[in-house]
Amino acid sequence: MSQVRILAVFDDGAGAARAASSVRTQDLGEVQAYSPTPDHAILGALHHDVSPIRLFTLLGAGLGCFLGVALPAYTMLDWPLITGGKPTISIPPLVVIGFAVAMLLGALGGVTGFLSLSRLPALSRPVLYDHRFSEDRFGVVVTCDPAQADSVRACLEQAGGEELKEQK
Amino acid sequence: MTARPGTEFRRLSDDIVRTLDPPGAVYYGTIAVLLAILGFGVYAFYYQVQNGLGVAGYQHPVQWGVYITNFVFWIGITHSGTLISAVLFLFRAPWRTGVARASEAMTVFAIMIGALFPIIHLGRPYFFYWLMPYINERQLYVNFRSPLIWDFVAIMTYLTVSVTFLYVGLIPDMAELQHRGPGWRRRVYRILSLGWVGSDRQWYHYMSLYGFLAAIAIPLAVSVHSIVSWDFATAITPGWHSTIFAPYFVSGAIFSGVAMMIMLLIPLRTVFGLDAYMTRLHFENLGKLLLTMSLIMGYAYGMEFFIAWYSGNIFERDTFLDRATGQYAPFTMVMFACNVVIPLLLFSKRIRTHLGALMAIAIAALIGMWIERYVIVVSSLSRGFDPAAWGELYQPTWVEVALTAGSFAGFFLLFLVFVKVFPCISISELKEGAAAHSEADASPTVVPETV
Repeated sequence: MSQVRILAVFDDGAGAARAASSVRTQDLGEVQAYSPTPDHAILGALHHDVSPIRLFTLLGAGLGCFLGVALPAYTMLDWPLITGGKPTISIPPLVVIGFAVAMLLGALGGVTGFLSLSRLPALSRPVLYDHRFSEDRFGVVVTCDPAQADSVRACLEQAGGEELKEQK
Repeated sequence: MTARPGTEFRRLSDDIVRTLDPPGAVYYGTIAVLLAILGFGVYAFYYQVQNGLGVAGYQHPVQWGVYITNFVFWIGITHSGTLISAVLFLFRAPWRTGVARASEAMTVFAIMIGALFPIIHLGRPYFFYWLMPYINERQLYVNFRSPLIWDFVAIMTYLTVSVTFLYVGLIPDMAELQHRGPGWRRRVYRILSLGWVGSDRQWYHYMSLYGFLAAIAIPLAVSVHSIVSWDFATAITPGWHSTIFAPYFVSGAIFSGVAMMIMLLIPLRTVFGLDAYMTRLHFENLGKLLLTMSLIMGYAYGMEFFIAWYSGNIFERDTFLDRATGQYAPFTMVMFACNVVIPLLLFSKRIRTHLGALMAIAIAALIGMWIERYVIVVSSLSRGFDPAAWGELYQPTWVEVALTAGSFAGFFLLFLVFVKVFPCISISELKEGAAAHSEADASPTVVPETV
């Protein structure tokens, strides 16, 4: 059965958070919220787990640390510069390069995770998106079964939602 | 009664978007002057490439001079932007919003300018890419044991992370400006916003990423100037070969970076009328930070002289005696005055909350820090182990002066262009602060005017 999308516009984040939480609690459909600023009430209502960005960052940093140590170590073995009885592989350069490359790839890993998980860059706007959500309004879009549409509308209006729009 | 968030958001956006309005004649006049100075610097570089490094004032044993001084100075300037922005973000300091964006931009531009100087300093600057760790035609890699390679890796990493930190912070603002920004720039903002819509999923990952970038930037910033200090400390030259160089350089870098922040933010506040967003509290806090770093600098200077005496190393002792009483003594005195004595005025609350006085102290600190780098680089080299090698007083030539002036012009030019193209205060963070205040039914201004 085809789904229906219902949008409500809110003047503040608290109303949008109430609406999102209410729809989620009653299991009326899938909720997506839009806001011009990070709204912790909305995020708290819709996301209970920890973002996997940390895994991307950790993997990037781990890879960077490995490469930052392995490449200098390999070059020291490949063309030994033996000076004054010092060890062929000297530790300080490995620490310095390993740390810097770990930070570099950790940051880039985090950005890669952010872009992929946030589905960016995006060439098109989501259905029912209103550009005011980047400026001064909050939006909640609920994707639900047509049978649940009345309950969703009631829920959104009760939370203070205005300008309800619907798309089938 | 507090305005509803939507209305408040609109007001905040209007205030910041207004800063992007077409500039007036004074702005274009300033740009023209800076371009002229920068152009002269570029000509000086062309002249140097044509005629060789001999046109600089190098004379044995001073083979590192103004260029390396500029390099260390500019890399030092980078240290307060991203670092302070990241520290304040992780500590959730509410006054961060007013100063963070401009400071992060300052960091990026200072790295871009600073990273040019090792290239300018090269005899054959067109071979700068030999620093990159790729395998060359003789199957050789760079020597990773060299601190110059550490520099290259650390500075490029810091530049990449700082640009990323700045850009990620700009994405939500770009999404707004694509609808509200002036003229043709909307298209540019649309591309730069990457299609950001501010969905809960995007904000959720965004907040996580921003936190990680901040956490990465802090140790990275500390490591970068430590590594720059090891360019000197790993050499056995008296005056350089010191274990305190890393923290000494890092504290000096934060000191000069804060001074540059103050120097950029005060005119920015005045010109754009951002009094509500960059309050005296911001500047008082920056003044306190400047004072704290100055005290640390004073301690480090004292320790350098103490260690030179207490170690019993005659070369070290003679170098520092010469620094205080020899031909470079006037520079040392100015350095002490600007970095240690004058900032003591900031103990007075009346002075540190007076923007004119704060600006004057910041400029003194910048002069003092440039001279400090000069003293470290030049005076140490001029008095090596062999007295027979001690030469004449090193005097910069017009080429070095032109390139130095050009670097300042380039830096201010980039900053001026930035504040007219991108919002100098994060709009989305202002709204976040306003929403928090709205919930608490308090003033929507992010930081209250307390002074």
